[in-house]
Amino acid sequence: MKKFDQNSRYDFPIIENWTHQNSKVLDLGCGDGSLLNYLKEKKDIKGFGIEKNKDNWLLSLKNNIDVIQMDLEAGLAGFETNSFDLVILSRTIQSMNHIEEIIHEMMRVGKEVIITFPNFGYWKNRFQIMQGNMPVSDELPYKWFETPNIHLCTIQDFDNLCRENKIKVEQRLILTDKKSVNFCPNLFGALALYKLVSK
Amino acid sequence: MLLLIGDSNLLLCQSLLNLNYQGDKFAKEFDANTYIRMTKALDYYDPTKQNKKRLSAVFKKIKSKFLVISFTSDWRFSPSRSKEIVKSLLDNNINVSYAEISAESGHDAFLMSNDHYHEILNSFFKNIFKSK
Repeated sequence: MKKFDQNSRYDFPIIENWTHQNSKVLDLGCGDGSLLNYLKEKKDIKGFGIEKNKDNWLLSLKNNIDVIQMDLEAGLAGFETNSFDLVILSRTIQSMNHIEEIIHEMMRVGKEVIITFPNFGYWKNRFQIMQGNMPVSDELPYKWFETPNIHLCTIQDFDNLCRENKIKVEQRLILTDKKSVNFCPNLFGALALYKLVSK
Repeated sequence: MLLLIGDSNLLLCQSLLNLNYQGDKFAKEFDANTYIRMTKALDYYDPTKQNKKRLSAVFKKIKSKFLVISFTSDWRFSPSRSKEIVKSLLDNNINVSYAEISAESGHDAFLMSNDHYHEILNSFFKNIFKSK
C-alpha cells in the first residue's frame, strides 16, 4: 500500500522523540517494518506491527518484525485495553474507511497515540487543484486512479475531529521539507504529526 | 453395477471411487486403532485444563518466539482459534507473528504447494538461523 523511500523517513526522528525508552509499541499498517526497526534501534522498544497486505507483511517478517496480519477496519478486538504504551498510525489514516472507530480503538489500546498524515490543505496541493489536477507529491505519491487514499483531510479538519470527539492533543508538529512550520500550518505544512493521549 | 446416465452421475461415481481409493490407502498406511487414539488425543487436548479461566495464564512461562499461520479454508483449526492463541501470546509480551493465508483446500491446505506459505516459513527459519 505504501511507497517506501528514504525521502519518506524524515518524520521518523520526530516519532522517535515522542517515544519513551523501552516502551511497548504497536504500529498499525507497519508496511515493511522500517519505523519499528528504527525505534528498536534508537529507543530499544518492544515493537509489534499490524499489516493487512501479504507482500508488506512478508517484508516485515523478513526485517525481523513481529507482525500480525489483520484488517484494521475490523478494529483492534484482539488487543486488551491499555496493553500498549504507544500505538502509531503513520501515513495510513487517509486510506481507511472507519476513521473515528480506529482512533477510538487506538485510544483504548494505547496509553499514547501518534497519528501522522499528509495535509491536503498544503498550498502546493491547493495550487495543483487550482491548475485543475488532483495533487501528486512526495506525501501524496499516487495518481488519482491508483490512490488508496479515500479520506484525505486538512490540519483544520483533523483539529475539528479531535475537538468533536473530545480527544486531547498533547503535541502537534507540522513539517515541510524536513522543517517545522509554525506560521499558517494548514497552508504551509505538508505533513502533520499528532500525539494524542487517553483522557 | 450402476447404470450411468449423464455427466453428474459420472462425476458422483468418480468421487466415490476416489474416496474408496483414499480409504484403502489410509487403511494400509495407518493402524486403525492408533488412528482412533491419535484423533481422540487431538480432540481432547485442552491447554487450559489446569487453568480453566484463561489461555493467557497458561502461556505465562513461554520464552520462545512464535509464528502462527492459519488457512482461511481450515475448519478443523480455524483462523479465529489461531487468533485466540495470538491474543494470549500478545497478552504475555511474547514475540509472535501471525499470517492468515487465503486457501481453498480446507484443512489440507497446509499440505499443498503454496509459494507465499513456503516463503513465510523460509524467512522465519532464516531469521532464527541468523540470530544464532
